Amino acid sequence: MIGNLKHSFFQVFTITFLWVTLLLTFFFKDQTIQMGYLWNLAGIAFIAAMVFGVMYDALWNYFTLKPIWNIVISSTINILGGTAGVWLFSEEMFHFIAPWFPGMWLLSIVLHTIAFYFYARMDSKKKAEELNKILK
Amino acid sequence: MKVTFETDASMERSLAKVVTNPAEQQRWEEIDKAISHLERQLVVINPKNNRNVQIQPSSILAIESEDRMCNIRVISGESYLLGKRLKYVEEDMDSSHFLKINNSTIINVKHIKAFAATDHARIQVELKDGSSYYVSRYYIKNFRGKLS
Repeated sequence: MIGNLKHSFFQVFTITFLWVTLLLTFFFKDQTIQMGYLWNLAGIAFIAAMVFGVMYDALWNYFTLKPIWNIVISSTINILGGTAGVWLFSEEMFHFIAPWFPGMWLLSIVLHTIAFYFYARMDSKKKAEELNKILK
Repeated sequence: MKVTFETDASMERSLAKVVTNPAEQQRWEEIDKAISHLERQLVVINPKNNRNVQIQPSSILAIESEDRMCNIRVISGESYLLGKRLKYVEEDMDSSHFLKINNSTIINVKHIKAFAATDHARIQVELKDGSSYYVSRYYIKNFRGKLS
């Protein structure tokens, strides 16, 4: 489990770092940045890796928590990680989208409920049937 | 019956292959029974009196992690302790019969009764003694090869 989570952490970290660098190159190519801003990029990549590489993988594949806990943990960490990522990218952008945070949080809860309750229930049913067929 | 032994480096460590004449096929079941009677005994601790007890691995229903030890539940309903961490127990047990189903439980696949999807969107495995455990999605793929 730890090995797999470590692997997915570094995979998401690398992809996010390259993706944000590509976006910056594409949209802000005429702008100069301070060397210290590279740490902001590393911070964004770290947050994405923790959220998408570790948290979701652990909650979906390894843990057997009740859906309510999966929904609370994932929607909270997702929204906090998202806002922290935006703040690291640009403080100006963070203040610009700040009024939308409550709506984003609500949308996050709705989407995580669909994933961790409705989809998970369907998936569990399908997998249980499949395993029972093998048993026979 | 005369028995000869050979080695084959390409075979799995916990696998033994028995080759017989087709005429001996009806005796396969008794050969299997005879071999399974010879399985290695497991030394565990009886928590009631702290004494060591030998049990047959085939009688184990489930092995659950308990701090630095493991709790072993057997068919008779008794529970024993094993002074090892679950990850080391997993390495020692015969992987064709024992499977990890979540971060803290290993079960004996021979004692599986059925699988069920619970109301809380989780998958449960029911054992022949009526007990049940949650199965992590990651470990489900391990069942496919072992149950068929």
